[in-house]
Amino acid sequence: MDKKGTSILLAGVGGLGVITASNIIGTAAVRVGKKVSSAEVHGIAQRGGSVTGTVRIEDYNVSPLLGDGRADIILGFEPLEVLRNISKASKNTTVITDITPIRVITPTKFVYPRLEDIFNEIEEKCARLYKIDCLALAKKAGAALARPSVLLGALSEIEKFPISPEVLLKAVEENVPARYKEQNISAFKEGASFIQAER
Amino acid sequence: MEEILTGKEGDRFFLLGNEAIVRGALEAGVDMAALYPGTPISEIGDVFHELVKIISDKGEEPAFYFEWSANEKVALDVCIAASLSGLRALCPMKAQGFNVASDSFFDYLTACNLVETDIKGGLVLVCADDPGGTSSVNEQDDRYMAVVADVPMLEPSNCQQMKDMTVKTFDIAEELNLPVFLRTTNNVNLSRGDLVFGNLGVPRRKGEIKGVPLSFDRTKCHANIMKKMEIAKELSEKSEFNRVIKFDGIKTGKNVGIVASGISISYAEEIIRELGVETELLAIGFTNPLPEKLCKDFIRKFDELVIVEELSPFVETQFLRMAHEISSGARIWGKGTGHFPKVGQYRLEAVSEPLASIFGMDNPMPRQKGPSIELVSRALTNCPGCPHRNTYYAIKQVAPEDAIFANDQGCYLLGGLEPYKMSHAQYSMGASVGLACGFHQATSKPAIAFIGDSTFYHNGMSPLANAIHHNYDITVVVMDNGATAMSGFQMHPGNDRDAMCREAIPIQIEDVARGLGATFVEVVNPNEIEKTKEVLKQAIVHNGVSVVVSKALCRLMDTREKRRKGIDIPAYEVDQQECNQCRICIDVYACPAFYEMADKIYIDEVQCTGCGICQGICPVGAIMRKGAGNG
Repeated sequence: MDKKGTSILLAGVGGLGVITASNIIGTAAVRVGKKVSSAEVHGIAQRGGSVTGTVRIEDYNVSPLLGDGRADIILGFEPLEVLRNISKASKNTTVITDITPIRVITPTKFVYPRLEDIFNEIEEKCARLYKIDCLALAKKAGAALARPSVLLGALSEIEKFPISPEVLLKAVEENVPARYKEQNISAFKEGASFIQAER
Repeated sequence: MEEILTGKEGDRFFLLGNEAIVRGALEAGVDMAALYPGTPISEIGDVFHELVKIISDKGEEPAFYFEWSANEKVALDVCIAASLSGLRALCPMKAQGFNVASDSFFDYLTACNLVETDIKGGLVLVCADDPGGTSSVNEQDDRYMAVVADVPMLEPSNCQQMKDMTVKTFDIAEELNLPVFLRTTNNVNLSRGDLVFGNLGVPRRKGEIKGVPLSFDRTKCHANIMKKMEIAKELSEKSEFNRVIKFDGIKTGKNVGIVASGISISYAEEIIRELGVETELLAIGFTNPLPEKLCKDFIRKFDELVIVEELSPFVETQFLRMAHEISSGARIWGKGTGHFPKVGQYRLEAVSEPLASIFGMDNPMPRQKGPSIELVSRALTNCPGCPHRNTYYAIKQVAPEDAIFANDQGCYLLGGLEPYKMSHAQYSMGASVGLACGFHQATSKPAIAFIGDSTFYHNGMSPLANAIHHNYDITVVVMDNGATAMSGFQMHPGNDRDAMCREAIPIQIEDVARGLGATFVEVVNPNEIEKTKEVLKQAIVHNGVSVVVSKALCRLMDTREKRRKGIDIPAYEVDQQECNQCRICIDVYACPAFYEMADKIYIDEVQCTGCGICQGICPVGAIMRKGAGNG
């Protein structure tokens, strides 16, 4: 099948901004006249559980869910959660992920796997892996809370992503609290520069 | 959010399914909406409340009335009255909420459908099912409720239809003088998509009630409804929401047609395109009554039919009947033939595999392998800093070993999981108090009921009256965190404002308990664990019903409020010199801000909400405040 659109999977943990980021991408896509279908999947807990979101910018009606191997881009808010959803990736998938783990997996006795093993397996199963220390870049931008904007800035520089950085940044500005607007703009630019430097 | 209010005809937006329903209601000129929150419909109320705030901030008065009702039955009664008074009313509920409201719904239907001349305002029930049961106690399929009640039902498959169908259901409700079901599933309520707005409607604002004549002629009422459903058949037949979509593509030599409804339409459509086959898809949006002529014409065209729908074979069994009625020899593939599961939310792969095999093609979307490293799922647990954990931690230490715990519906039910495991049973809203009575009577063991504040107002007061009246020797712990937290911090009768931003009378749970005659009623702050233990001890030995209201604001709301006000949230860390790895913090107290790495215990700075309770829990004083930060 000829594939023209772009499907993005966002994976993280409740409280890290997966849903907000999906909304921002979707809003930007609709603003430039695209057709969008998007879903969020999470459990009943308010925080700490696995959360995934999809944003599918396609030319015809598609399901808000994403089939195995069908993610063009995976945006990772937490490394283990990217690995958990690795069945959605293919050898054509670009993965951008925050490197900071949420090691907490209570109340089991489970110990978080070695980060290196996680990144190796992701790298093996996708086309390109970008690892970003979003927490550090967000702090540099002035607010740890602006972490999702670092990822969105990075996303805006990915070739397969069909929306211009300007349009995406505008959607970011409109969707973050006014008192953190400047920090989010800086965080977005930090993310974008990171990809430009890595490319 | 404001665009839902200000958006003009032809404008295009990216909205949540639940937001689209609200826009649809406004386009229909809705006068009233009432609901009790519950996934997946909570955001419908959240949006109405936000719109009230936006309008009020401009110094204007909303043209609609919205309330967070105490429970779904109350919400429906409020909406029924609006409808009987000639106003348009929207009443959303989750599937289990329909169970609560069903008493009023079924009785109202017959009692108030006596005369054709009754002019009623459109009454629309949004009934939201949860295939997969991720946020509900079961996978109830409410489509059958529309059949039992004999009311029309529409099922949206995407965001645009969420809005369009909401508008249409009000028209249908008034044309037939019958309430209409807008039946949704979690994946349409909680999906987002692009949609085009229509014109805003004009609310009627003031209703008038002539009174419903009292009659005991039930068969006449029933017959009246049946007559209306005959007209509904014609509406379904010509509905724009039932349509045949033709796909060009590979000729497989097989004459297969596909039928789908609800969200499954999008799954079917995507897989047909993946397969690239020539076929036709009958997409049904008006699902009760089905458009029989259209369906039968579709059956006649094909040798084989595939029915795609989540949960029970609702459409499928009707297709089997219709095929029989027209003596069609078409094979009907679906749940009956084992091609599709009756359980769980569909994934695209679950539709891809059977469709490919029926067309005799390779599966375009085979399931792929997951990670090779074994990953444990992030277990459900209360949030870091949650006061419920503190209540459980206190009770765990003072409850008799043979105590029986009856739990209820809300964040606190997570106390039933590891490591607290304080639930012998939990299922529906408010059941815990009756359960505790029954357990005590059946076993003579000490019984403790846990119930949340919102659940107490929802359905906890009658069972408490029952317990007090019968002088049961039970303990009721009301875990009051100031909101309906699990579904998104919605207001309830304990708050001093209502959903219309007006002053409201806060009903104190301790006053209710005393008013009902409980002789032991105490309020504790669970964040003071030692004091809480003392009170709980007394409550458990007290003869008769003892009520302990464990009151502390939800930590997420508390943290959010502090951030908003610019108050610093402290961070904590483990002093590795002092820590003796007793593991009380991580294994017994089990706050999810703790984690283990290389045999040492740490606090995750992102997860920690800075409550500092763990400082008092640690027996060797190894937890220290880091100073300002976290933000």
